[in-house]
Order: sequence, then C-alpha cells, then structure tokens
Amino acid sequence: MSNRIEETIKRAQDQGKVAFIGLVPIDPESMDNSMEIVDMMISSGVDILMVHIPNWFPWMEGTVLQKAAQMPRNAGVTRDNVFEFIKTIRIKYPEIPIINMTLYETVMTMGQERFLKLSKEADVDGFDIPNYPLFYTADKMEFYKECLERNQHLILAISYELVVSEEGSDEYILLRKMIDAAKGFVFVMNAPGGQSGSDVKLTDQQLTMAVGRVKDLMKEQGNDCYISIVCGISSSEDIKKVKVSGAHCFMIGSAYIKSLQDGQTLDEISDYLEGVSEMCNY
Amino acid sequence: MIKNNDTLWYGQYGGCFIADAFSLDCDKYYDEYKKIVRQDGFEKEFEQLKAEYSPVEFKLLETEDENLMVGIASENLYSIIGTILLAKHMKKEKVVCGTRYTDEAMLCAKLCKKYGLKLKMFMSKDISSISSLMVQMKTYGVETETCMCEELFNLPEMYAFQTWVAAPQEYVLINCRNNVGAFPHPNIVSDFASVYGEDLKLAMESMGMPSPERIVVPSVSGTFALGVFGAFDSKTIEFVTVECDEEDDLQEELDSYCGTFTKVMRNRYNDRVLAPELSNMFDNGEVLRKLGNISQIDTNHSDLLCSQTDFSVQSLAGLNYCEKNTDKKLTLCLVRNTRWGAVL
Repeated sequence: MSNRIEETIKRAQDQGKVAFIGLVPIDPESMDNSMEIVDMMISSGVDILMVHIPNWFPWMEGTVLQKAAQMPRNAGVTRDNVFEFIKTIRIKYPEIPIINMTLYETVMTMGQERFLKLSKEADVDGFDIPNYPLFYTADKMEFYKECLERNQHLILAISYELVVSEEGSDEYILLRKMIDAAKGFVFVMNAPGGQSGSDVKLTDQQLTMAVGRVKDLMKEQGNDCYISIVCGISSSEDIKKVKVSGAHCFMIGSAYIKSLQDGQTLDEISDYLEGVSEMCNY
Repeated sequence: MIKNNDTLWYGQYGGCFIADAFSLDCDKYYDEYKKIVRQDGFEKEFEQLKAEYSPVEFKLLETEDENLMVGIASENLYSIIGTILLAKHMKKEKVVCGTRYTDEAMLCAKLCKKYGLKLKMFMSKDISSISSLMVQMKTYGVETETCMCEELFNLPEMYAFQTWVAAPQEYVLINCRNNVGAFPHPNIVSDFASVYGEDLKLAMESMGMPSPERIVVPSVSGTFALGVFGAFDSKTIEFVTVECDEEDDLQEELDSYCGTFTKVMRNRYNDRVLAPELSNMFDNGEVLRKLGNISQIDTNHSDLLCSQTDFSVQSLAGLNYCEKNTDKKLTLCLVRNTRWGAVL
C-alpha cells in the first residue's frame, strides 16, 4: 500500500525530476525556530521532510548531526517536545511526506509502543532507523510488522558492499531479503559505513552500477520500490551523479545543517536549497 | 577462554543493534575471533603478555575490623592485551581504540608498537590535555584524535567503534570495557576480562585468604566487577557493586551504546554506561547494586585518605558501604587506586 512518500516521488518523476529529501534539524532554542526552518525548506523546494529525532549516543552520525543531537540535549529538549513539533508540521502541511529519522536506541528508550503511537498521532509516513536489525533478528521486536500494519514505511539502507556482493554469498542473500522487504524507497549509501556528511564517496561509476543492480533486482523480485541516494550529497556534482545513476531521489542534511550551525541565515540556506531544487530537473 | 558462547542477550539487555548491512561483519569478526583464540599457542602468548605488561597485583590492607578484609587490586587491562594479540593473529595492520585513562592509553601504545600495528586512538578530553601523555603517544607513533571528544561528545569509545564499523576489514577494535559496541564486542571483552578474575582468585588463594561471605566491588561500568564475580561462587557469596558519581542528578535510562542495550546513568551532559551483563544480574538479584555520589562519602576517614593508597572515589564509597553494613561474618572489599583520567 502506498502513502505520501511514493505519491510524492512519482509526482516528481512525472514532472521529470528527482525528488529532494531534506533533513529537519531540531533548533535547541525553540520549536518555533525549528518550524521556521521547515517553512524555509518547503518554500525552497524540498519534497520530503525527514525529521531528525536526536539520539543521545549518535554513533551512526557524522560530526554535523552529532552536534545537531548534542545541542538540543544540552538545552533540555525532550523527545516529547520533538513529537509535539512533528504533529505541528503535520497540521500545517497535511500533504507533505514526513519521515522520522533516529536510531533504534531512541525507540527502545521511549518504548516502541509509545514511539509508534506518537508517530501515528503525528501521521508520519515512514521511519529511517538505520540500525534496526530487521533481518539479523528476524524482526524480533516486530517493528517492521507494526510499520506494515500502520502503512508507515521502514526505510531500508543498502551499503555498497552489499550491492557488489557475489551471488550465493551471505551478503547477497541479505541483499535479496532487503530488496524483497523494501517499502517506499531504499537508501543506497554513497559512503562506506553509512555516516552522514561523509567525505569518502563512491565514484560516479560505482554509484551508477549500484543503482543499476538494485533496480535490476527490484524488477526481478517484483518490487516497484524507489531508490534514494544518501550520505555525502552536497554539491552540484553530487546531484548530477545522482541523476546519472538513475536514482529517483536523494537526501541532503549535513551540508546545510552545518551552515546553520555556522550561523548562516535562513535566507542564505534557502538560496542553497533552491539551487539544489533547480538541479533536480533532468 | 571463551565464556559467553555466542550470548547475544542478557535478559532484556544486549543485542546487536547495528544496520543489517554491517551485522554480517560482526558475525565474521566473532567467528574469526573464536577460531584464533582456540588456536594452539594463543593462550600461551596471552599468558606471557599479561605477566609481562599487566600482571594481577593484589594485597590486603590492614583494618581494625576483623569482619572486613580490604584488598587492593590492580586494574583489569586484559581485554586490551587480548584484542591487540587478536589483531596480530588476524594479520591486521590497523587498530583503533578509545581511551579514558592514562594506563589504558600507555598499554595500547606499547603493545601496538611491539607488534608493529598502526594505532589510531580517540582520547577523552580528560586525558588529551596531559601534555606528557601526548608526547608519549607521539613517541610510540600513535595517531591521536582529540577533537571529537573535545568538541562533541566526550565518548572516545563511540568514535573508535564508528571507525571500526566504517572499515571492519581494515581495523581491529580495542575495547577496554564491555559496555560498548554491538555483539560480539562486549563478549570478547568479557572473555578476556574474566581471565583476570581467575588470576585474582588464585592470588587470593595463594595468600591463604578465607572465603568471604560478601564481595563488595566499587564499580563504574562494571567490567572489573563482572571479571571478579565470574570467578567466585554466587551460591555462597553475596556480590555487591557500589557506584559513586560526581553528579547527583543522573537518571537511569535504557539506551544502547553503539548497539548493545543496557542501563545508562545520565543527565543533560554526561553518561555512564553499565555493562549489559551486569544490568541483567542486577535485575535478577544476582548482584546487589548500591548507588551513591561523592557528597555522601564520609571524608572523616582521614586515615584512608592520607594512607599510602590512592583510593578511587568509588573505592571510598565501597568502604563506606562496608562500614555501614556489618551483617556478614566476613566481607571482602576490593578497592582500587584512583586512575588518572576520567572520573566516570
């Protein structure tokens, strides 16, 4: 069953463009400031919002998102505050897809039932929880099952190492399982280790090959899920690379969140995001 | 040497909360670890190294209370020795570690130098400002990384784990404690650290010490306590840990430190993470957990504070507990010297 995520990506494809996923940071000072960031992102052309729910041990994140986690924590922002904010976004923007981005630590700390309840109340469309061990534990915590029942997509992330795995290997078996279970879109990582804001990136050829292989397997397994590129996307060259690769969307976060942390104004960030948005057209 | 036998969960704690794409690397790492540790010669080499670099030192301190034995023990650094030896046998060229204490940093540097391993060390801000230590690290050819802990989270182990996850084929991760990292890292630390407990027990037996009814271990993450408790009989001995924090507003939460769920004591700025195995033992009643903070330590014990022993604050809290709980015929309080580096 599709939701706002697929509808938005399909609309972008129909318009001859790749969809732009933008990461929403939590402003440590106030949720009103955070909402101003959201307003600016949407007016600048961001298609899908991914809200960064800070992790207190942000071990899968790069330095920019670590700082984006640390600042609200030190300021005393709670997870309840963040969920209230997400609800406010939904009320203000009923059509825009919202994805909650966090680590499974946050889900466990809050309690999975409560996390899912609050996410349902905020009518979010999906989750980017890169360290939920769906296959390793055979969905032991039933997070994936719960997502399916709620029609909220758990976004899976495929590393380059998995994409290039040899047929028959453990990695290949895992890749096939991921392709089978994918909903909404899958992330193909543009950096080893899946760290945000990474400086180590795949070459153009590597990324094109990776997207091609995932597409072929999707087709073979009868899954029409979309493909998004994540990690280390910031420059016009990166976006060109995404388009050449044949991916349907991409995510940017660290690039402009760092500018915000460095004190750039929302107008300056908006100029950057508008530039990115313009480059989304084929 | 392998004690945990693939334990992924300790009750509700533990696990391997790491992306599926990387979990295969964890499994492969554990398989290789088991294979190497079981090889002829590994244990012998391990024995030689620990005797040379970090032998168990234990002595009894004099007390006026006949029902209390106070023993001072050296730190348990066996996991550093074990994992560096593992790196050598895996034929890796690079190792990464996160250190909070000067003794950890020095041992890592020395052993890596001995085996020609390229060491990248994330250092907590508590020790990175010690210039003599930094000079030593340079002398040993260590690539030190201090900015992350200085500018972001003061969690050197987290950055070391992050480095390992990004390139598991390239690096071996040296973990000093079993409260960090996804399976199998806590298990590997636990295996090596448990050898310490056995050595300590042997040292006690060789001194003709009577068996206590209670063992009190001052604790931070619990790695030392677990190593000790594992060597003694829980049916006849009551195990107690005493934690003592600098701050009094730490709240307990369930969280995962790089992939292993456990109890975390935290406020807005700091975290203290407990070993998952120990968290489970608390819940099961196998170990009594006593919490305190520095302000509760009775500093009237000037005899202790001014003695030749540099008691850690946790050790002072442990002694306080023993002095106030005299219901057992014979209690062993296992104190340690303060370590230069982090308080938590």
